[in-house]
Amino acid sequence: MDIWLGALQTVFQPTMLFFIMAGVMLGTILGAIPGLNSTMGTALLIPFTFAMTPENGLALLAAVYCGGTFGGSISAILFNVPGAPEAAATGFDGYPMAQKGQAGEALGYAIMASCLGGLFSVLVMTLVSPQLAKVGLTFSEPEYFALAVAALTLLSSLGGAQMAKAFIAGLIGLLLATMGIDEMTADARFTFGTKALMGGINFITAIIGAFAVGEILAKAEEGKGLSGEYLNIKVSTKLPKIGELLRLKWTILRSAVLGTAIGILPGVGATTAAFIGYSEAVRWSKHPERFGTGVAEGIAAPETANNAATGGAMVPLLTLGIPGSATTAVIIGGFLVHGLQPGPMLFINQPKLMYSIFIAMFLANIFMFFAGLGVAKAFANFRKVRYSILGPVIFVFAAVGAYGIRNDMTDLWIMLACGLLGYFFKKFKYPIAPMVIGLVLGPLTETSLRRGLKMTDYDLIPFLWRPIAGTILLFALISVLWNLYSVFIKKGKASLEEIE
Amino acid sequence: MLKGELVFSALVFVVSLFLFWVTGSFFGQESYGKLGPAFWPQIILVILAVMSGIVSIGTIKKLSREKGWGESLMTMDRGKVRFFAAIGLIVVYIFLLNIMGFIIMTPLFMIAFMILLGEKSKGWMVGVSIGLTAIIIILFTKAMYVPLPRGEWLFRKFSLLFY
Repeated sequence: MDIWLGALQTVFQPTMLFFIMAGVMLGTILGAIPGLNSTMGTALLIPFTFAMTPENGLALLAAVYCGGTFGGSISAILFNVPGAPEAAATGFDGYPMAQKGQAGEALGYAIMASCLGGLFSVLVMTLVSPQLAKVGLTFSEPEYFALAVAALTLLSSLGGAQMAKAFIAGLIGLLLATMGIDEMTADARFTFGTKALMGGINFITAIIGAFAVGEILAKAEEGKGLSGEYLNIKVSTKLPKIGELLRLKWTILRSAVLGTAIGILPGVGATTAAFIGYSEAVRWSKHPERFGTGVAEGIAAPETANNAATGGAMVPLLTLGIPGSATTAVIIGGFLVHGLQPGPMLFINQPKLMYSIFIAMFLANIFMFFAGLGVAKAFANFRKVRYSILGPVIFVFAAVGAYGIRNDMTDLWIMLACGLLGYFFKKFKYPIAPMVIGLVLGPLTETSLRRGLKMTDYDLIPFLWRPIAGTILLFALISVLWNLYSVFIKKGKASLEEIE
Repeated sequence: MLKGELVFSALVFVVSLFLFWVTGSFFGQESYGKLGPAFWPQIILVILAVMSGIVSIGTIKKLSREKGWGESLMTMDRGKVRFFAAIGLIVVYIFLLNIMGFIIMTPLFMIAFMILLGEKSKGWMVGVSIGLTAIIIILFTKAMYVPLPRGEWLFRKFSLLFY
């Protein structure tokens, strides 16, 4: 109880409240602008959190994450251009509804559903995390190895027909993480004799490169939309009435539960949650044929689910140090810049910090309601978002952020190299998220495997034959096999191209 | 596009084979046991080579089926010119940052990049580039104590007037 009171005291300080509010606002704006998203936003913000207390910095990042997940729906509804991938499913019904002249209503449903989904998941996160952290304390090297493998395979196998590409992306992330001095033997790996690469690749630099610089290069080539989106309607958000919300109660509840659960699975985030939330809403509906024409359920379902995934994705991050999504992988950077390693030990060493993050996320979801109303209004009347101005601004932020981490010019070259990698990934349809997760989980996967095998005297059987580690690895294996089964056998298209 | 995709996956394949060869030069200290520094990278590289091989073969099959071998990789359109120019600008910016300093290079780079992306309003270009440079200098050097590159010679003296 004392911890809760201490955390409440920390959160309800004016500076902290300001950071949460600013974070939600910024996240919503970033989410709403196509080409920007909360992952890039949090990556660009990490260098700014250097100068803040860990509580303020992490609350800011968590608030950007919450706001960014919702923000994408604004442009999905108004322009049919999802501002962020997690809002893609919202456009299915949001845009047709806006086309019918009910853009205000569509935004109202999206805001309400997002808040409810977010609040539900934060509640679950608050209840589940401390318990899971206790279980996490009993984990040893084999369990951590199993969890990391599960996170990577789950994410890659959800890539469906793109599975091989997702695996390649994850493996490239793991490989990049091995560059520099080997933690266990102090040998230099893949440094090619240069001192600059001895320190390895900082994952924040790599993420800034892959997400921000890669996107800028892709946009520069595309040329489309550089001069901005046009909108000729005036929009004022109309919140749904209580009766309408009650009508949607099962849709919202189903999506909230699904979204939170999907978020908790390591490696899978808001985008998957939104699509599953939408498809489940269609499946359970009495009028599935109406979906896609602009029905409220079609907006409430994905919006509840994607925001519910934010709280869910924080659970494995806070309790085990395993990111539940690409953005939470970036948020690990927010912990690391303050010398904190997310995981079960933080609940023992820094309980106040952990509980302040819970409260901050709770508040962020409430602020999101107001930020949503404000940004939706501003965005609808904001005629132009010129990428020709925005692109260079983002680049300079990216460059300063990458440089600021170690004050080293090498990081700028690494950022550019990762930017090119990100560009080719985007061009040839390789998902970036597995690479980020691979990069973040690389050191953990390797050291837990090598140390764990040392514990069992290099015998693989006792390493794998542990109840929790074994179950998690089995789960990971089943997820890959199931995906292979559905690609090869179920669809009857047994060709190499299918898994490529 | 398919041909480009093939080049990319084939490149990943070749690079993973090359890096596997590089791992041969990692010598672990015996006292740390059997699993030396090359163990983990080798596992990754083997799977990476297999996966990129699968993707390459898949793309070759698709190319043959769609008769896409005729497409040229080297066609330069406006988009590609903009893409290469953007990379060139970034390389020049990073290269000159240590010589000319952040305060001079950043507004110049931003204006050049905005022109490249087709921005026409001179007011916006000058205002945003100078404004953002000022904001970053204040935020990073005064509030967060991150030393931004100052450049050399005269440029260094100029930078020292501000931060």
